Amino acid sequence: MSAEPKSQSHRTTNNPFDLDQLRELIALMEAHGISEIDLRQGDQRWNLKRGPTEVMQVVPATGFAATSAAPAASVAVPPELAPPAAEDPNTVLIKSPTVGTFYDAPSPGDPPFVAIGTKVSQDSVVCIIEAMKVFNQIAAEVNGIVTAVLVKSGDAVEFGQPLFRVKLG
Amino acid sequence: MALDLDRLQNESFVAGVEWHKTLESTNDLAMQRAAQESLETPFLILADEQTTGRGRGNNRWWSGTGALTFSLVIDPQTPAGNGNSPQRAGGFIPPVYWPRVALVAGVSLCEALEILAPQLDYGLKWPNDVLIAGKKVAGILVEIPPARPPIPRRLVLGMGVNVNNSLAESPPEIQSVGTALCDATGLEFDRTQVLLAWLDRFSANLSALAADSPALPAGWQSRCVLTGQTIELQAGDRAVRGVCRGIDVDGALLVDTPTGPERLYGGVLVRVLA
Repeated sequence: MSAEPKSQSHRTTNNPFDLDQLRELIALMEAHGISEIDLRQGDQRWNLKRGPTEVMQVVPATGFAATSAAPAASVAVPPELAPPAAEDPNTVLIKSPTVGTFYDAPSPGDPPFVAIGTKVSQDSVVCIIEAMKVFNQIAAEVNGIVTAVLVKSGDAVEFGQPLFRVKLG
Repeated sequence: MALDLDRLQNESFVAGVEWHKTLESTNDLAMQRAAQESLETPFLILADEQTTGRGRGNNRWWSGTGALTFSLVIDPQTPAGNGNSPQRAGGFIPPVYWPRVALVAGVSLCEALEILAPQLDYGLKWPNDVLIAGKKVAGILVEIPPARPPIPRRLVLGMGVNVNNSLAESPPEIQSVGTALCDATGLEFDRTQVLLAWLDRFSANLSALAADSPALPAGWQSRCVLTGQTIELQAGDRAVRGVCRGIDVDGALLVDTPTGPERLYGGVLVRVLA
């Protein structure tokens, strides 16, 4: 590998969007409760949506061609921003078995049970769903690696709502 | 007065009893016991003193000498257990009903105390506090460990009841919101008797829950202290303000807000406005 990899990149000299900007946009959406942002600049289009499943998409517009002008590392789309992978037979969704409030850690301030990249087994506790002071520990019930966390701690969740995406293995 | 473990085992539906002078948390130990396949349920864990009683965030349960602090492990899908009164706790409780168990425990405590000290005014503060004349006398917390086949899913119910631990010497801010049975009545109570009375009502009400009996929702509806009050709750990121319309049959708190009726399954009561 060379010191300056000539990897293909979404970043071009004309490209006003980068990963930091993407993070800022997501933070703005969360802070202001915005459910969708649709940005178009030149031949690039970013469409970010957040709803009950917090699925966010980065959609290149037709004709988008990644050029390799910049030596920067390619802009990897974080796994939590990846398009839905329901069609991937090796990926499953862990869904909420009940209505309630989603907690990602045993108590506030504790590290989360799992994060993106965490290897889980059938018995692994991945979160707590609380309803009326009944704290239900939810197990992964599959073996694999967490590839997306689809809700945030404190969110109200519905029965059957996807909570995590797990790549089996 | 020491707890009478023999009576607890012989005169209730519990199959086993374990007592500790001091424990960090009866629920923590109960969660460990619940992971043992050989555990006979219902199983009761008692502690005279609990040093880090559970509660989410800063909602730690206070526990002094004379309090009744315990956790009960039950198999909600085979709750008959091995106790002496299995007929009082028969029935399969579907998981969809499990979130109502804390309310069922609260109703059961009200019913038990209404027998032991009928002169007092008991109420439920949704979802898990029992009050005497508006002051908290007990708190409830239920934890459900994950499935670990072949062990069935179990419920761990933790409760703290201020029985003989007088709050008279506690700071004014505690006394303004909390009370103990001894403070409210001027009498000392046998904690074994209090617990037996609760176990009796709770086992009967678990059967009622399994049968989806309408008597249970009537029990929490009639004791809901928030009904008719303007309240403010924090539900996740949202602040919900409106007039409480009571507790629904499935345990949800009903709130009429300016934007329409809400059904809440979670959230923290921030304040009562009127």
